[in-house]
Amino acid sequence: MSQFSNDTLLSLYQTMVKIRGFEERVSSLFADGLIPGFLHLYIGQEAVASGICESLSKEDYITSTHRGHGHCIAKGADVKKMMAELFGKETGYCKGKGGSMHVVDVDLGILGANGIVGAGMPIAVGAGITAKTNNDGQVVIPFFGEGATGIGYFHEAVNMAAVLKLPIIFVCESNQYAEFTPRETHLPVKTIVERGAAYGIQSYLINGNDVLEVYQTMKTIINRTRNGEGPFLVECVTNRWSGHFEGDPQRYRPEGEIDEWKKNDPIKNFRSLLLSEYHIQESSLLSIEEAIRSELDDAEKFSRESPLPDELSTLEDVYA
Amino acid sequence: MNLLIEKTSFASPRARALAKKLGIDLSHYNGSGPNGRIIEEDVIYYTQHLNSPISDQTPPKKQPRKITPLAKNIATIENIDIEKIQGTGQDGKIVSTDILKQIEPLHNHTDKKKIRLAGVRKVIATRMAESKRNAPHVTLTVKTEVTNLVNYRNEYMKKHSIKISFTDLLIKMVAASLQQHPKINVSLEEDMLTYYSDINIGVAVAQEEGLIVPVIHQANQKSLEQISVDLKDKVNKARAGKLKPSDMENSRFTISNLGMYAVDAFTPVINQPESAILGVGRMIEDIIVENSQIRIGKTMVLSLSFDHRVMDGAPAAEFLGKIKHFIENPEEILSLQN
Amino acid sequence: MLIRYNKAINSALKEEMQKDPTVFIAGEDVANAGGSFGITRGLLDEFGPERVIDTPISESAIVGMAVGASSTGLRPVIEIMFMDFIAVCFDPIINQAAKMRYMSGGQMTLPLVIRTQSGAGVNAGPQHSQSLEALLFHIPGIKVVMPSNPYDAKGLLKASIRDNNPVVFIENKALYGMKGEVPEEDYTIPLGEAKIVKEGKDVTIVALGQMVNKAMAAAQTLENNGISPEIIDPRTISPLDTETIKQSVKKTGRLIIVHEAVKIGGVGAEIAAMVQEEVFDYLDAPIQRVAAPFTPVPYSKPLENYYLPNENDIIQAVNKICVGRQFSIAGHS
Repeated sequence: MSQFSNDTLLSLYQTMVKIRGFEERVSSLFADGLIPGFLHLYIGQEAVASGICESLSKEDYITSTHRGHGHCIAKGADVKKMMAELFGKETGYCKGKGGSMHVVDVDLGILGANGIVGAGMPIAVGAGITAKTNNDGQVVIPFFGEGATGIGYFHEAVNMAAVLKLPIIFVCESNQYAEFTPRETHLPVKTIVERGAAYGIQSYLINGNDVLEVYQTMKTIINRTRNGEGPFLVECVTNRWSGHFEGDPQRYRPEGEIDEWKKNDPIKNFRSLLLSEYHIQESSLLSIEEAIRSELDDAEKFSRESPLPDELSTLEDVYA
Repeated sequence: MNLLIEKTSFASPRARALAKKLGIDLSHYNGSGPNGRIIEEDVIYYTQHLNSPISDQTPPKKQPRKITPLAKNIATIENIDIEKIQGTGQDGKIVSTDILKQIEPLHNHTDKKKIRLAGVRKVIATRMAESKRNAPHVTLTVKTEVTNLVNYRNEYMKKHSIKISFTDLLIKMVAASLQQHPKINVSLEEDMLTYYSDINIGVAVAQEEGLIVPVIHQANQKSLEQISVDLKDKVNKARAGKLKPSDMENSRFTISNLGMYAVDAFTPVINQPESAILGVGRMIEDIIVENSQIRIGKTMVLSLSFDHRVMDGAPAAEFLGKIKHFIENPEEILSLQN
Repeated sequence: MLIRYNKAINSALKEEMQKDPTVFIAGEDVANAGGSFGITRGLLDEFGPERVIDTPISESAIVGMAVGASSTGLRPVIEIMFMDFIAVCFDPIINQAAKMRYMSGGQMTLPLVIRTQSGAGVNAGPQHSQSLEALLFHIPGIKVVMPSNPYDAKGLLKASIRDNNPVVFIENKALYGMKGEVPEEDYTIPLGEAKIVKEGKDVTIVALGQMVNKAMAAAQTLENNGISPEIIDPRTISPLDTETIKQSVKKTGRLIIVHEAVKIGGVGAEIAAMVQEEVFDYLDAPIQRVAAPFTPVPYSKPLENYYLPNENDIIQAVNKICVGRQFSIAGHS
């Protein structure tokens, strides 16, 4: 009777838990000083990446943002190589040259997290041209936040994709804050979908904290895109629990706001739903949770034990 | 280590590298590069001419002469040095007629040319003879170091963005010396000694017809720039034959500078009714012994001829010493500037 | 065959598109209009709108798009109509194209070419005349090519398209009409190989872009005056063929760098620094730079003429350092 298979439901749950687990793990490793630099965590937004990537294959492309761990994990990235990269180890995805903001896995269609707000969108346009040229039904999904719609890249990329009719779904994760600035301060519009209308593309507003709504809506839109109907714009309303970066005390947020959102925890909600509505055995969920914990333990061990890169490798990989 | 010497011998990295390889101390040399910098070609040149005295003058520039094949053949047969020939062909190319012109006088060397003395030449002949006959000349010579003077001039020109000659500087220094030694600024005419308060310096200028002596009047009251402008103006006029009598009158003391020639010292003849004349020789690189140390510097010889009827050796020597002092301490005349 | 610089570029594009189906062209006015300088004329007809793409006026998105397309298997050749406009797409060039390979630990390969056009001399004014190569030259991860004649333009563009790195290919608008001999058969010129345009022994002149031709004109006069300049066209400024420059300076002992970009912070500064660092002991005179004054490019003819370095400026710079006993002219006083 369920419109979702158990495999799908468990897969969605597993992805969300893995993202949350990864972020909580690296947060504590960061606090212990084992991970340097900046960390921008995805906690609170897991339903978006998980719900969307469930319908993607490795032939599809995504571009990500500075808050990119969730997208990469959902697209299938290896948490060992991700975590090692955060540690700055030579076994990391980028041999320690990129760090948290630059996880890339070309084979999985992850065209990079990106340290420049909005920069992934025109890159997605280019991947869209490749997808269109290949004519194999590949789709491209650039993730970005509502803060990125203030940058020219958004407007140029959406406009160009619309003009060239590319197989792209622009996914805006409205997490309510552009760095430290609340949505009302920097956006003159209530929703980002209004902006899609300006470029003549179909745009959808969905609840980004409901993984099943994300999954279901996006599955349809992705299929339409594979059939040549793109581009589309989808705004997923969600919330960022952690600061802009790890260590950000978030003094700019009203008291109680995060607690309110935490009551609407996409993972907790989905877990209850799985147990109550979809009759999933708790033991299945527990074993998923346990497997992820052990996978993250392995990743941490791997990252801790991996060697730091040879300093001379600084000079490599500048040119092909 | 003498800082001034260091300053005067900038060398390019390339010249230094070569000098190091050859084991040569570059402070001995003059450069022909930009701003007098020693360049590689200078090191090569000096290496080839190590045993000959080093002249301050820029050595002749290597300039391959353009010559027609015919002219070259004739020159070879007649053993003529083409370097000395002015070519009349395109871009100064030496053509056969240029060579033939050289051959003619050689072949007719027994011919004589007689010209009666006249004009400037006659005036000079008369006056020089009179001077030598009437005034018992004594000539004092002294070697002076000019390393500082050369630097001073360069820096002065750089600082003020003007060009001044060594002669301009000498005029200024001689004028200052005369002011301090009024007994030299005197003339003897018909048993009468006249002491002057104005200090007018004549400068012997060579011209084809003969020497001409424009005068820088009140030189002690003029700045270096004014002297320079005044002299340049008068020399130009002299060369153009436009010098007025007033430009040559009332000279009290004359400077004869042969520094541009290969002349070290000479006995200048007094330009009467003046009582003394300063002869200036060329500047050379020289070994200077000072406080039992040897160093390389630049020197030139001053020759002061004076009329022994008017003065004795001692005041003349003191006067010459003063000039030497100024030359070796050129910055002191700056304090005399205006 | 004797063809013009613009035609040489056009035929390089055409031949590379015929040879490799992953090569495509995109930019403002490149398809229907054939390019604002006519460089892409005829390509739309031959290759169709999928491979010759007119884009909106969106330089940032155009370059960003090329990053995405090249990292997913295509070989985009995009056009930024005037080099001045790279100022509006610095992020995709500097932060994306140049760094993607490095940031990804060598995973990404970005075979893309940004064709653009620079240079003063046609009264195009301050925002359409600049030579901004030094800004790009400063960025590791991209290659920068500056062809000075039709033969090089074609061979270098083909090599740029086949190169697996982001290449900024800077055409000089003053050279579009220049004619030159270009062979019919396929050829490429390796990126990073300078050309000794004229051999000489007294002074090395490294000239960029259209300044190569000015240096050649100056060389005629200089030779008549007994000074023999060696003229080097780096052709690619990044990577720079430092070896050829150093070998030449070792021979001549003198170096002059000529570019039409402003002197301060220009490519000449880097070449001068590199030469003094690596072959200091071979220098027989201070290195000179002949370049534009530190001002925007002016519009009016006399102003622009004053701005743009010319033969006389080069001759003057040579005369300033070719002083010495071996030189017959310009003796010191």
